[in-house]
Order: sequence, then structure tokens, then C-alpha cells
Amino acid sequence: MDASQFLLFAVGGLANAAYLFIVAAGLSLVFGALRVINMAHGSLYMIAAFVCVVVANALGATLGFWGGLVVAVLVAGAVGALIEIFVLRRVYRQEHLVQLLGTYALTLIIAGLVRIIFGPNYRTMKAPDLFTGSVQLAGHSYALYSFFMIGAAIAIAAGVYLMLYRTALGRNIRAAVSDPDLLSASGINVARLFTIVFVIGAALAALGGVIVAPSQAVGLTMDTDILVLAFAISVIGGLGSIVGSVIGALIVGEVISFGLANSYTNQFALAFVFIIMAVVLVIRPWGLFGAAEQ
Amino acid sequence: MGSLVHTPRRLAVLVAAVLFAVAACGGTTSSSSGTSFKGTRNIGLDIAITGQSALYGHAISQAVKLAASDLNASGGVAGYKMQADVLDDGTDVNKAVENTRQLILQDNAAVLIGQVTSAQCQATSPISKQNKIIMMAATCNSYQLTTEPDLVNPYYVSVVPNTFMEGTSAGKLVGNLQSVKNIFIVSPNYLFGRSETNAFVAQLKKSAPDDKIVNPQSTWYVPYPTNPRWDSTIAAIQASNPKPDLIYSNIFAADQENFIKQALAVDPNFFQKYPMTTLSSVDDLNALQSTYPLGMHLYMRAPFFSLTNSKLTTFINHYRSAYNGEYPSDWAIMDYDAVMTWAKAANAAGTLTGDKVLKQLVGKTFSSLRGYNFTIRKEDQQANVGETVGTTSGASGTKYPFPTLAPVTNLKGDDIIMPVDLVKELQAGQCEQGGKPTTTDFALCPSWKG
Amino acid sequence: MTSLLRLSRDARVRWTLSGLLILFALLVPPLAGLYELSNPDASARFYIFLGTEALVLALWAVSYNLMLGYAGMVSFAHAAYYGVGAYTVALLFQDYHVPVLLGLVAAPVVAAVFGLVTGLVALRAVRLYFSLLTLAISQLLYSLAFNAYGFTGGDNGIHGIEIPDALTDYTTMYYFVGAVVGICLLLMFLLTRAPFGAALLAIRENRERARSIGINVRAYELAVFTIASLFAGVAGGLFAIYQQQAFPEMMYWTANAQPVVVALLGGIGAFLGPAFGAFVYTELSNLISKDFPNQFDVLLGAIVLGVVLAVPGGLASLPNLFGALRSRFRHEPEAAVVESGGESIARADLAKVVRIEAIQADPVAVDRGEPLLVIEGLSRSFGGLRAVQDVNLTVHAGDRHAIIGPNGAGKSTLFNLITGRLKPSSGRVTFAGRDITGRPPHVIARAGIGRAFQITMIFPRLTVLQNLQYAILAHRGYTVRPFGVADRMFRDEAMELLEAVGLDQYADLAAGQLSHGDQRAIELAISLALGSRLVLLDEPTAGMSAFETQKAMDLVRRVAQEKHLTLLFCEHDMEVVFGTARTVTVMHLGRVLTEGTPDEVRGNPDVQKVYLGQLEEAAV
Repeated sequence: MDASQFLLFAVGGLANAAYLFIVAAGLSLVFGALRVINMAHGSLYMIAAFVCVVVANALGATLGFWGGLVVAVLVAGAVGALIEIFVLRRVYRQEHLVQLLGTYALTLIIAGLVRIIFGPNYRTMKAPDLFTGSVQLAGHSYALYSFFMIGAAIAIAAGVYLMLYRTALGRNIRAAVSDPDLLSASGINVARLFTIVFVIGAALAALGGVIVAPSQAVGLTMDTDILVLAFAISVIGGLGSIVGSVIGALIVGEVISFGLANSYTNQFALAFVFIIMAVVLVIRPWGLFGAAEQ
Repeated sequence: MGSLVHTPRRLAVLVAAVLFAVAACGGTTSSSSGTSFKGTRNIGLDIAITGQSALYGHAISQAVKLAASDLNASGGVAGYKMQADVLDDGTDVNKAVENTRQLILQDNAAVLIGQVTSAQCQATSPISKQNKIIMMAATCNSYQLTTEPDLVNPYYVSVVPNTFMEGTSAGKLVGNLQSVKNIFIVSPNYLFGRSETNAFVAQLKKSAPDDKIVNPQSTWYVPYPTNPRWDSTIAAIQASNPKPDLIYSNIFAADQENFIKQALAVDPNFFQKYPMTTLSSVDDLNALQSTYPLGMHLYMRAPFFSLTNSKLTTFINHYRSAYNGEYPSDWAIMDYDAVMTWAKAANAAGTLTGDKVLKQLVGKTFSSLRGYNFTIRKEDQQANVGETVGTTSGASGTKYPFPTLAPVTNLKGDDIIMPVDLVKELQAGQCEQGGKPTTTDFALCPSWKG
Repeated sequence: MTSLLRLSRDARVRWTLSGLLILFALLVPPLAGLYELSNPDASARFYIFLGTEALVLALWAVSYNLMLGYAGMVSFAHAAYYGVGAYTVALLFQDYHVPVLLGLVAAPVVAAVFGLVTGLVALRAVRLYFSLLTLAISQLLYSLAFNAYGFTGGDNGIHGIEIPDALTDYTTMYYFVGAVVGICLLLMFLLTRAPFGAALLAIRENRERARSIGINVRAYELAVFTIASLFAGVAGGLFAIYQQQAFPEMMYWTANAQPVVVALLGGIGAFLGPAFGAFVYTELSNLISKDFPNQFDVLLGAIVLGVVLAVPGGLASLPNLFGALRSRFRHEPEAAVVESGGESIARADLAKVVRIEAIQADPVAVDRGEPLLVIEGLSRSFGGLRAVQDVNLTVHAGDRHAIIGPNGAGKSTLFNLITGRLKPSSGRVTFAGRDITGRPPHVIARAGIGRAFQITMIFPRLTVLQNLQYAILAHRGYTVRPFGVADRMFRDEAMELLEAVGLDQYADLAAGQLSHGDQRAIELAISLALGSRLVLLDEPTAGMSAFETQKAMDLVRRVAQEKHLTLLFCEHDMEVVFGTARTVTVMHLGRVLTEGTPDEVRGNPDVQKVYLGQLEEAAV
């Protein structure tokens, strides 16, 4: 494989990593602060993608994508708030399994409702003109949209990082991640904080769905497709860590990209991801950048 | 576990009430018989209403329901009123098995319609065999279903071109393209993908022995379930040396859409540089509509716009008026054909009993919506149905929201159907690999080599 | 019979329900026949077939509950072993023409091997990480089944498995499957009643505590993981027989949802709960897909959600629910939650304390005054923080030795190092001549060091009596036994201990319901049950009122004297320290500052400076 070919696969892996990161970051954040595994995270991603496509196609060429983005994030955020308030609040103090099952039940309900509302067909939308087109690098073509995805991921990563480390809200979230017991004693309105964090997680899932919608067919299997990978990334990078989500997504994205490229590892690309996940869980369960639980 | 708060308790009563209500509502629906019918019997359709193939399940269930009501309008089948008994299997193999048993044991289905995926049909065919209920396959199409010794089922009838026929069609199509010398293969790694790719490669060797496959065999197959992102494959095509003149694939539905969209994003002229030959259907064309690339060499099972004949035209209008102006996709047409074929045989037999209807099916000839008659031959109970091949073009203008095929050829079933010798050898386990009989690669069979 | 009558109302209800369930299961074929007679559209064969499905699902779900309900482990790999069992039968038939009944014998063995090997890996992680690791493992096994086309038939699965002619009749098949399932359930049931099951419950209730009463938690978890996968293998083998096929989707991680939902629906707290759930789920699933084919997922999701939110105990706890509902409608007051008020300590009786001598396990081997616990150069760092630095400490037999120091002095870390919860960075710990440096907690507990924790560590949902019984069982090594009835063993000895600390009247209450002070008394009783010679008390009177404190320390002193116990405790309450201790060690910033009698320490100017310094810091 020469340098230009290497670049092809590397950029492909980065594009993959981009949207995977955005989704995994939401999952990881929710787990870190709320200690809840949200199986319905993929469902929020799917809802946002459908809403975005429908709105974008209705609004037409110029406003389409951006309008779709705004509405999708709002809808997903609203659904997230509803889930947190009416379901999660009842199960926080219960065992992990009950939380898992509750959110699993939600995935069933949401999948059914999405099918009933939007129908079983796959939907497509066009990317905004600004990001349509291709770029020539080292003799090969690259989709401009891939670079948009990478750029969006960087921007979102920076935004989340700033939020976590430069705002009062972020400080509270970090406190929730690192020392949950202290939280209730510190005078913060924990219930409201949890709702806010969950909504942020939902918004991140939504952003992932919106960014991906112009480049792939939006259909009813999107929720399960993304969930396992998001789990793997969160585990590898560390639950509750944004930096971890970035690194984890990079690892998973590139492993898959190069794994598929090579004729020997072609069939095992995805298996590699699970092997890495298993190794991390055995050696360093809290992930590469997570905090060891006391 | 501590005391319960009031609200959850009320909720619990509600849940219990719902459970009882659901249970009470259960129980079989009694059939109402009209004065001219002997009774009502079911056409058992277990299909993917949800899950990965929900798109096709939608079209198929509509077609089967329409067929049932059309049959009833003309006197029913062997004196019985027919009802479409539709169950959802979520594209899941296990559920398909459960549902099929339910259709047979509980709902007393007179006939079964095959599922979408070959994996499902593989699992349900033994049940049809055990219970002697005819299974009409109109979607799942791996040739192993009729030639694998363990799977051969005298009650299984196929009215859809099988993977041998499709692969052969593709092989002939590509073989005829003089400018194509180097080919890149992309196929999903499961039974259907492997089966069809094998057939393509085998036919290609015959039609155009100088053509080369440029990517190593281990990279032909993409892991399944497929990743929605095809960056690696697109990169591999660009990085390929020598560059391919054509991409052969049998990825369909969402995968096809994703691949095309992403390839076009990388390079708007991608498919001018690397035209693609792939399995397609009206649904796939409709998904991308005007963005579906032109110059693609497609093979399709029953595209209505290329099979123009009066029967089909009537059917199209009938279907569109019943279903909100939707065009009938390939699946709808084939499944309608399947029901009608069976009904004709049952009427000829004067009964719904599996064995007797079978005698009126196997070896007999039937008309179809596709504009030609087909015969169900006795060796593998496969109908000699044709496949349409052609190149996408904007020739039809704005008549339809998607491009159609021009030039287009409707390949005849007899030209692409699996030779009888091959069928017999596969069924007898005479094609061997490493000393063990196999049906994976029919190029190993004595009659193919010879 | 008397034992049945002595059971609480809860248990009686459960036995009745279980009996009804078994009766129903036995009668499914004739009932189906009757249904067919009365309803010409129905088919008896179909309902018998559904019944067979429910039986296999019941076995699978109960085996899952061994891990979940009894040991508190949430695994995503269980479907993989189910699949392995099915594939074993299928592949043996396809490749070697082994009759399926023989294959059924092989299935649990193969599944257990897979379970053991993957369990060894999975159990390197705990709790949530364990669950995620099982997810990774299950996906790897699934891709193996899916991709290894030559071996497993790949995504095709294996079909057309032949079964003996006798089993082609639906009723015969039903009873055959029922017999196998029945035997397996019986075996699992006996296991849960046995001391082995007691150990599992202890692990579920409080992992740390279980370790400190001498249970090697990881070994038991591995054992139950392997046993569960064994029975899952039987269930899978039965699947291959009655469905006559096997396919990879059986092993996909989301397939685990089935036994989990079933177990939750039926109730994970009762042994046959999941079995009950299996029958309900099978029928419900059939009804929904028949009447509401387009809304299957929404309805199923809604029902599961409803159960999760409203009835976390599952359907098996519904009788309690209805009972409570009924009493609410009748305006009966709810049974008051019993809370003890610390009277136990007030009622401590010297005479009763003396009686516990009878159950002490080991005689005191070390003479009074001789060094019992010797700590040399012990250090432990966390990253850059040196929590304990080069500590030298000797505790003499029969002594009452207190460790004091301001917050962050390293007292708790030191305790953790002694009891094995933490491994030291350097140094040595010797107990009664044995080097116990860095040994795991259950080994140290066996050696004779007991610990009462700073945060009360009991088994909250077990009864007070069970807390003691299981501690004795664990300590004496009985918990490896897979037979016998745990709740009947060592009752008398446990009751004596409870009387000694004045808790005998609360023997059948859930330990979590007792007051804080009484929970400490339980802990003390457990330490006695373990025959500990050295008892570590980590802030024993934290959270107690002045009254409770005085009485607790009276009890501790008395028990220590009578049983020749050596005490090592850390405390903030100076009255307790100076009233109880004979030797005092002062720690500061991880090091030993000074050591001596209480008076010596009180008068030491360095000690005063350290504490005053702390006061100054606090004032800032």
C-alpha cells in the first residue's frame, strides 16, 4: 500500500470516526454522569435522522439541511427529556439490569412508533451545496462531505470540551462523573442536572444522526447498527470521558477502515473491534481515559 | 423492596388490565362465509413487515392481499374464499420459523408464500415439507434452496429467478460489454451474495474468458450485517491497480443506496469511470429517484416499465388505485404471480390439498404479469422466468420519478436457467470439494467442467 | 409439615403458585385437546408446540436467573451458550450422524466448557464491566458461528435435523422436553437451597462482605457462570431437537433480551419466577403477533416498560401487590416497618456472652502479650499520593489498640492493607507468625482477622439469622456443597450468637431494616461467628448516639475480654479511644507519629500540634 492509498483509507476511517465519536460522546457522557446505560441512545439518533430528512426535503434546497438540523435536535432533545423525566427517574436507584430493560423497552417502542409515523421505506436527502463536491488529493478523489463530517466532529468535540471545563454546568457534570456521592451533599439540584445531561446526550446523538443523514439511507435499522459500536467506543475510551470518546472513535474507525482494506483481515474487521473491547475490559476496565471507580 | 409509591401501583393495575384485555381479545377470528363459498381458507404470508427488509415486506403483503381479493371476486379458489393471513417476522429467522408453524398448525393455511431472505426460506422450507403444505417462493432465491440435498422439498415451488439465473444474466451482460476487461467485485457475505457472485464469475469465465477480477477473492465479500459506510470499498476501488472498468455487485436496498450516494459524494463522475452492474428493483430506483446514476448496467427481476403488456398495464392501474398511486415493485409483481399460479393449479385440481394441487403445478405452464408464460419444471420445481437487463438512462424523461432502462433486454428464462444435468448432480451430491459434497460452487460439478 | 406452616405468608404463596404452575405444565396437552374440541378453528398441536417452546424458554430463563437473581450478575453472553448447545446437537448430527439424544448429552458439556473458558476471561472484570465484557464475548462467538462457513454452515444455519420417530408426535415431544426440563430445574433448585446457593446470595447482597467472611467471590462467580451455561446448553440442545435446526441468530447479543425479559416478567426473586414468565411471555407473544402484527414491537415494549416501572419484582410479586392493594382499599393500616431502637445493646447480658464460647472455632494459640499482628515498613501509594508511608506497628495479643489521627492520616488505607482489600506497595504484614502480605481478603478472613466496616456491611435483604448462618457456613467451608438445605444448618449456633448480642427477637427480619446500632451488633456477631482472633473496627461508633456509643463499647469490651479477642480500632471519638484503648498509635500524613498509652499520647506536644494544626486549617 503506497502513501496515497494509505491516505485514502485513513481519511475514510476518520470520516467514520467522526460520526461515531459524536454519538458515542453522548452515550459516554450520560453514563459517566448518570451511571445509566442508555440502550435507547441509538433510537434518539434514528429519530433525529428521520426528522432531519423529512424537514430538509420539505424545506427545499437552501434552508433544508440547517432547518432539518435544528428541528431534529429539538425533537430528539424533547424526547430525551421525556424519557429522563418519566422513565429514568423511576429507575435510578434500581439495579443496572432494570435500567437496561427499561431503556431496551423504549427502543422497541420508539422503533415501532418511527415505523408507524414514517413508514418502512428508506429515506434520502441531499447534502447542503456548500459541502457537495469532491477534492483531489494525491491522485485520488475525496468527498468534500467527509471533510465536513470530520470538521463537524472536531467542532463538537471542542464545544463539549469547553462546556465541560469552562462553564459552571460543566463543573457540575464533572463532579457528577467523578464523585456521585458528594453530589447530593453539595447543594446542586441533582434532578435538574440529570435531566440537562441527558438532554445534552440526546442532542449529541441527534447531531450524529443529522450529520450522517445526507450520506446514507435513513432506515429502521439505524438504531441497532450504531449502538454496539457506540458501546465499544465508550468502553475503549472510557465511560464519562470526552477525550476517551475521541480516541476510542479514532481507534474503532481506523481499525474498521484498514481492516476492511486488507485481504487477510477483511472478514474480521468488526471482530477486531470486539477483541480490543474485551482486552480493554480485562486489563483496564475503566477505559483508556476513564477514571477508576473508587 | 420497601414500600411502593401510589402511582406505580395504579400503573400496575392498568398494566394488568391491559394484559387481561389483550388476552381476552385473543382467540381465533371466525371466518364469515358468503353463500357462494364452501368456507374460508388462509394464504399464509409470513413476511418482514418490520426489520431490515421491511420495505419489501410492505410491497409483498399489499400484493398478496390484492391477489386474495381478486380471487374472491372471481369465485374464490376451489370454492373457498381466500384470506391473506399476514404475520410479521421482523426479518428474523427464528420468528419466521415460529410464524410458519403458527400459519400451518393454528391458522390451517392452504398455501405458504416464501419469505424475503434465503436464510429464512431455508429455515421454513423443512416445515412446509413436514406438513405437506405448498410453499410458493417469489422473493428468496438462492439456488441451494432447490438443489441442496438436505433442503430439497417437493412442496417448494419457485417463481423467481434464482441466484444461478441472476448471476448468469449478469455474467452474460458483462461478457457482452466489449470495453470491459477488468472487474471489481463487491458482495455481501451471506448465502445470497456468495451464491449469486459464484454464478456470475462462472458465467463470466464462459462468456468472456479474458476478463479479469482485479480484487483478491477474500475482499469480494463485505462482512454482513453490512456497515452503512462504504468508504473502505470506495477507497479500495480507487486504489485498485489495474483500475476496474466495471464494478460487479449484488448489494441491494439500503446498501445500494448508501454505496451510490457515498461514491457520488467522493466523485460525481464515479459511475462514469466505474460503471456498476448490480441487482436492482423499482424500489431501489425509487429510493434515489433522479439521483440514481445513469449508465449503470442493472439486472432486475420484474421491472414493470420494461415488461409492457396488457395484463401488466391493467394490473398497474389496479394496484395504483388500490394503494394510493404506488407503483408495483418487482416483488409485488412476482408475489401476485405466485398466488395466481397456485390458485390456478388449485382450481384445476378442484381441491386445496397440497399433494393434489402439486400435481397441477409441477410440469405445467402458467401465464404471468411479466408478459410471458412460464413452466415449472419437475427437476427442481423452478419456473423458467426471465430476468431483465439493461442500462439506466433518462430516455423516458419525466414519465417516472426515476430513470428506466434503455437499452433493455428481457432475457428468456430458458437461456439462463440452470441446466438439468447440473441440477441433478447438485441434488445427488456429486459436486465435491475436498472429497465432501458441496453446493456452494457449482463450477465444481462434472457437467460444468466438461 | 411444621416447617411449611412456619413459613411466612410470602413463601406460602410462592409454593402454591409454583405448584399450580407445575400442574398446569403437566396438563398442557390434555388442556389443548379440550380447547380444540370446544373451538373447531383451534389446533391442539399448535398449543402443545407453544407449550414446548415455553418449557425450553423456562429452562433457559431459570438458568439465566441463577446468575442474575442469585448472584447478581448481568450477562450478555448467555444466548451464546444456548446457541452452542443447539449447534452441538446439530453439528454432531450433520457431520457424524450422532443421534440427537446422544447429542443432547454432549450439549451441556460443550456449553459448560465454553462457559468456563469465556467465564475465566469475563470474570476478570466486575459488575458493569463484566456485563460489557460478556457483550464483547458474545459478539465474537456470534461472528464465529456466522463466518465459519465451512464448520458451522455460516449464516445458513443447520437444518433438517432428524429426530427419532417417537418424538415426531407433538405430545410425546412435549413430555420428553418436559421431563428433561423438569430434571434440570430440580437440580438447579437443589443447588440454590444448598450452602452453595447461600454463598451466591451473600455475593449478591454484598460482595465485599462475602469476601470478608471467607468466600472466594470470583471462584463462586465462575462456578455459577459455568453451571448456568451448562443448563443453557441443555436448553439449546432441546431447541435443536424440537425445532430440528440451529442458526447463528440464536447467539446474537440482542437474543439475550428474551430470557431477561422473561425472568423480569416472572420475577427474579423466586426460583420458578422465570418459568412462570416463560409461559406468560410465549402466550402473550403469540397473541400480539396474531392480533396486532403491525404493532408488535410497540406493544411488547410497552408491556416490558410497564412491568419495569410498576412491578419491579415481576409477576411473581403480584400477589403481594394485590394484597397491599386490597388492604389499601379496606383501609387497613400497612404493616409497620419494624425498626429496632438499639435496645439490643442495652439488653446485652454477660451470661449470654459467656455461652458463645462454645462455638469458637480456633483456640487462642498466641499467648497474651505476644505480638499477634506485626506490620513492618508498610507503604502504599496512589499515583503521586503516598497514603501510607513506611508504617511499623505491632499489636499484642489481648490488647486493645487504637489508631488515631486527623483526616487523611491513612487509617482506613492501613486497615485495607491489613485485610487485603488493597495490596501494599512495599512492606510486610505478619499475623500469628504467618505472612499475610497482599493476600486476598477471603484468605485473611480465614486466617483469623475479622473486620467490622466503617460503612455498615451486612447482607441487607437476607434475614438477620441468615446473615449469621451464612457467615458460619462460609467460614467453615460448607459453601462449596451443592446439596443440603442452607437455611437449616447451624441455626442453633447462629441463634446463640444473636442472643449474645441481643438480636434474637429480630432473627427473621431483613437485616437492612434494623437500626444502625443493631446492624453494628450484627457485624460484631459475624466477627464472632468467624472465630476471629483479631477484630479490626473501622470507626465502630460512627453515626451512633451517645447512648448507643456507650453501650456498644461496653459490649465490645466485654466480648473482647471473654473471648480473648484482640482489638485494633480507629476512632475519631476521643472518649471512646481513651475509655477503651490500652495502646494508642497516632498517624499523620501516612506515617506513624508516635505510640504509647493513652495518657502518654494525650500529653505529647507533637500530637497536640498535629491536632491543633488541623483545627487551624479548618478555621481558615
